[in-house]
Amino acid sequence: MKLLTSLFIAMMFVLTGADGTSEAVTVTGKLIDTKCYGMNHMNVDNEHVVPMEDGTMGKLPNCATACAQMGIPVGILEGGEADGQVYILVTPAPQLAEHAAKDARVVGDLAYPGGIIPTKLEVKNADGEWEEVHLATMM
Amino acid sequence: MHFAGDVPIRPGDAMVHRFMILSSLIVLVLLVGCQADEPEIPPDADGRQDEAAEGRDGATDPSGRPPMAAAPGDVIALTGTLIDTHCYADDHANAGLDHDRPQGFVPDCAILCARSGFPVGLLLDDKRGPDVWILVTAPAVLADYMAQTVRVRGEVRSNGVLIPQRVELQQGDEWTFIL
Repeated sequence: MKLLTSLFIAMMFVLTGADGTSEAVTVTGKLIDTKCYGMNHMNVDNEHVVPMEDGTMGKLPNCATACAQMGIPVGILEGGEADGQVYILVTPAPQLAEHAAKDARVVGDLAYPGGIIPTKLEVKNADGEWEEVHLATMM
Repeated sequence: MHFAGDVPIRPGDAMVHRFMILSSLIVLVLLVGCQADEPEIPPDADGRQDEAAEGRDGATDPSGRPPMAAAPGDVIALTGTLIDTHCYADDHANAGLDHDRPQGFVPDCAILCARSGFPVGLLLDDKRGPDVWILVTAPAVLADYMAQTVRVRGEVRSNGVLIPQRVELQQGDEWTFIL
């Protein structure tokens, strides 16, 4: 039964020419640190609430920047509000560290359920204008 | 009557169209029928059974496959191969260390990509849910283990995104703690 299903699906892909692996998307939101946001959805800015050494919760300034510099994947929080959809940006995080918590607009391929291969990324500068960010590519 | 821009439908096109619709319906019926015999996710190494909550995170899987039975916040264990999510997205043959890139053959490309900071993913054999789970951790710490089999225990961030709590490397019959 499953073999038959697989054959039909394969046939459909051939007929439609669809590879079914990615989809072009544009997402507008805010650049976040995906690890701290995963711990606490209030961590959408650069300052994060994190567990301190004494077991209490404390505020850590520039945490999103520091996490990105360490390589923790950067994501875009659609709409910029807590609990929105998050997409990981499949690009080196350190290059986005200086843009942590900025409003952003990304164009790319939704190659994974929760990950976008960005082809163009813009962030809002201090004047409220969109500014393109250079994205690294691998060879 | 034809309007400007209309393309007349040829008999052959209509046949193909009908065939595709019919095939789609058959596939849908078969898929629904197969859902009943899908096994549950097996318990992990500690015997814990993952809690099922299919599709609660609402993420869209571009592969078109049904979501895995895990919800944000669930702790699950997955076994698979560490891959570079960037090159794998370009070409699914790029699941090993060396990659064929548009610029040519790149030996140890997966290691270079992880060291450069491209997110690392876990490629599963399991055909339910996403085939790749992106790992929310610093890629460089996994660079030395690319293209190797690992077992990851972690918290589901969203469909296809896992925050690892423990990563073990398969070495023969044994699992070695690496993260």
